[in-house]
Amino acid sequence: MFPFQSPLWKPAAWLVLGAFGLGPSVAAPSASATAAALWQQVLDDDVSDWRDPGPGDPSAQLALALAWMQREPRTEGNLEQARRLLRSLVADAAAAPPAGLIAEYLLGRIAHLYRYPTDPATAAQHYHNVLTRGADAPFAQHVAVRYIMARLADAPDAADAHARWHEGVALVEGFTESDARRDGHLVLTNLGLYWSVSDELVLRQALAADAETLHQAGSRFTLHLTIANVAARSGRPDLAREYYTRILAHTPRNPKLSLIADRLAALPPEAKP
Amino acid sequence: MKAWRTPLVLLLLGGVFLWGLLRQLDHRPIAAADGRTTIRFAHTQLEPGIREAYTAIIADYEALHPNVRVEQIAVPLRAWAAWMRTRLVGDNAPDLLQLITNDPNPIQRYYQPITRWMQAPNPYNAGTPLEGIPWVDTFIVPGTDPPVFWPIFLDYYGVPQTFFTSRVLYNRTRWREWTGRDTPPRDYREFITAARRIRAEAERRQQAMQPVAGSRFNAPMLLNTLFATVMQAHLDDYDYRATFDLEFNAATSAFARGVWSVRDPAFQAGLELMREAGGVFQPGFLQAERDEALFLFAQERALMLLSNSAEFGAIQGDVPFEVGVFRIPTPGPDDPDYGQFVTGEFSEANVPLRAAYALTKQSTAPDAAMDFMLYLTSRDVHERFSAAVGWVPIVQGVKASPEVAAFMPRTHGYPLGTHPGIGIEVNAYWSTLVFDLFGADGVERVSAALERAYPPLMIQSINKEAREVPRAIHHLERTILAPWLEPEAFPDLAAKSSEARETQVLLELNLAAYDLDRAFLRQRLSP
Repeated sequence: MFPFQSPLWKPAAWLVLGAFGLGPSVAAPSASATAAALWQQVLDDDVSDWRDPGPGDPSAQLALALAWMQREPRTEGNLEQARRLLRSLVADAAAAPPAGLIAEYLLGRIAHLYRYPTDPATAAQHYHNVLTRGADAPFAQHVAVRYIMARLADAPDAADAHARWHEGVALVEGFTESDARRDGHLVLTNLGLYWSVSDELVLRQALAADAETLHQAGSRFTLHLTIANVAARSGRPDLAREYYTRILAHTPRNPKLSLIADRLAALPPEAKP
Repeated sequence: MKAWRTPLVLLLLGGVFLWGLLRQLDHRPIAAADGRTTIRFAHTQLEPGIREAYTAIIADYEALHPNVRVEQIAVPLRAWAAWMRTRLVGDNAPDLLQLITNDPNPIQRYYQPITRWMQAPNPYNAGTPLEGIPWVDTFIVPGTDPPVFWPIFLDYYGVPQTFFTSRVLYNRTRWREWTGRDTPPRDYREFITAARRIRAEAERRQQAMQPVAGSRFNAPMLLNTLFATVMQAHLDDYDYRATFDLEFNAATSAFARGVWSVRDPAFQAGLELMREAGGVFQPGFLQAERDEALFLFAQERALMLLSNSAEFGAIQGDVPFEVGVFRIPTPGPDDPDYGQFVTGEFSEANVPLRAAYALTKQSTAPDAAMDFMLYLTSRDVHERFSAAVGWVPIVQGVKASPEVAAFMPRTHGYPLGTHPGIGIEVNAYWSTLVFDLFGADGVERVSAALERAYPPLMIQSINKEAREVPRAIHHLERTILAPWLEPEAFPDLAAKSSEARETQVLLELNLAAYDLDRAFLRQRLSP
């Protein structure tokens, strides 16, 4: 019997192809139903070989949604797959906190970051939903920072921006989590300066951010320089001196150090006690 | 057909399949034919002397480690992207790959963090003043940025080798003969005077000699630096955060908000300065290729050449005269024409570390590969290697050779501004527009063109830049959410969560500024 007349030739052909790696890859990790394993695949950017874990585990569903969001190429189809999962989790929120809050947040992220043009107004609405439903949850404070940012980035003019800025200040004043406080104060400092909120009010936010933990030397340098320069121009030379001096003491190498030393030297003499 | 043939065929096919399966699953280190562990590293440094220097270091390392074989793979830069992608996708990548760009997209996909090695002392520094110091702290620059540390991934990925700084090379043998000076120029005014003297002398002798050999690659080193120097006039008003930033984001944001315009005195002075400085190059320099400029210099038909530390060793070895080096000359605060815009000499304190090697995820011998990197960047070996290839050394305590000392980054000085090509799309337009600067009425023609082009092209530049930021934010998003939902599965990430959130919010603030800048620029375009 000629080999190709044998009913076994097809499976035999797959065995040959598989041996040369042209068949389905056996080296790729199989998608496990456990959430932790799915999250690891998301972290490893290994999202090309998935099996839907099915409903029942909100954490696994969120991992799958993120996988759709990061899958290349980034298409509207992929984002819609993510939205489908997230909407069902939001609808199921009463049964699965905090997954429902995170799902609502990620719907906001898709509007805010994953589509072009971005839609900060829609994003702000989703973030606001998180604040409304999960007011006491630590995660809600993380989202509140994004809410403040989306609102300030979407302000139509300075007057509206200033009003939104003050709303943001009120929100941040209620934060209990230090990372959220830090991030909230950084946002209010940065976007307050963009919208020309008064130096006095912005300095208050910047100093509050500096009272929290900043991990990266670059972040600290930028914030301290902002504080020093804004203090110098707003008639607070002692505060400016304190921060220029701190920068020079803790920054070994930066192209701005000579300029900072010049500005320190140019400050009016220290006020006598 | 005989009954035994079909089962035999199936048995053979099954055996082949099983062999292929086992080969794919086998992650033991690649063994050389003699049983040694083989580690492979690939780079693009084909300049003369570099491969030889690596070969010598490898020989010493293998003598110390007889059970290890190190293989060097040198790939031309032009072929690098395709070659690297083929190897990575085909699961056949070397253990170590050179990072040519700071593109974050391949980093987490193809490379593994080297944080645990970076945070431990380099054992090959035993007996030196660097003994016991964490590896990352043995470099002269804090490893806080790419290619060494990647804030969006919160891990170390790159082992740096050097800096690349730009300088002016000059024919020291014939310098006095043509310029009447014994020393190189100390600032722009002396430089332009020397260039004019060279032109006058060439006219007098009826001899071909250009002041500077230019090309479309090296001329911007001078022209852009000169323009950026007079942009120091805006140190206090570009960046709304009051942080003396003058680069793309700050410049675009300031333009969007109406802080500066093309007609400002500093911008106009910058264009005038570029136009004047363009006269030091040979005619047609903006269309010339790199080799053409090098040829002019080597043939002693140009007295100066702009180059960088990566090429210096090769150039020095190739030319029949003594080569001197001086910093790119900029106007000082006392310059009669441009001094009012200048704060001072520019600082190179932020020159990034370069030629870094990253450890691929596919490496079957990561410990051996990193041990070789530790050896290569240990103080004594780094000193030998840097001297042999003429690179700027970056390990503490290693002195640069006298020839290379001039390339060491100058850490004192002031920030530089941006050049007219502010942003990706603007820069592409600028690279075609700059030709007009050197024609009749060049400054006015270029000014008028930029006035029209800046708003729409800045929007396009922002759109391109802004598309990359969400990817970085997404990297951090999953880093933050995974431990929030599965804290027991990801205790390491939980410990990094605070830092990840800090990095993420700063990236998002960049994005917010992009959104606002875009809105302001669109208002400027509206009738």
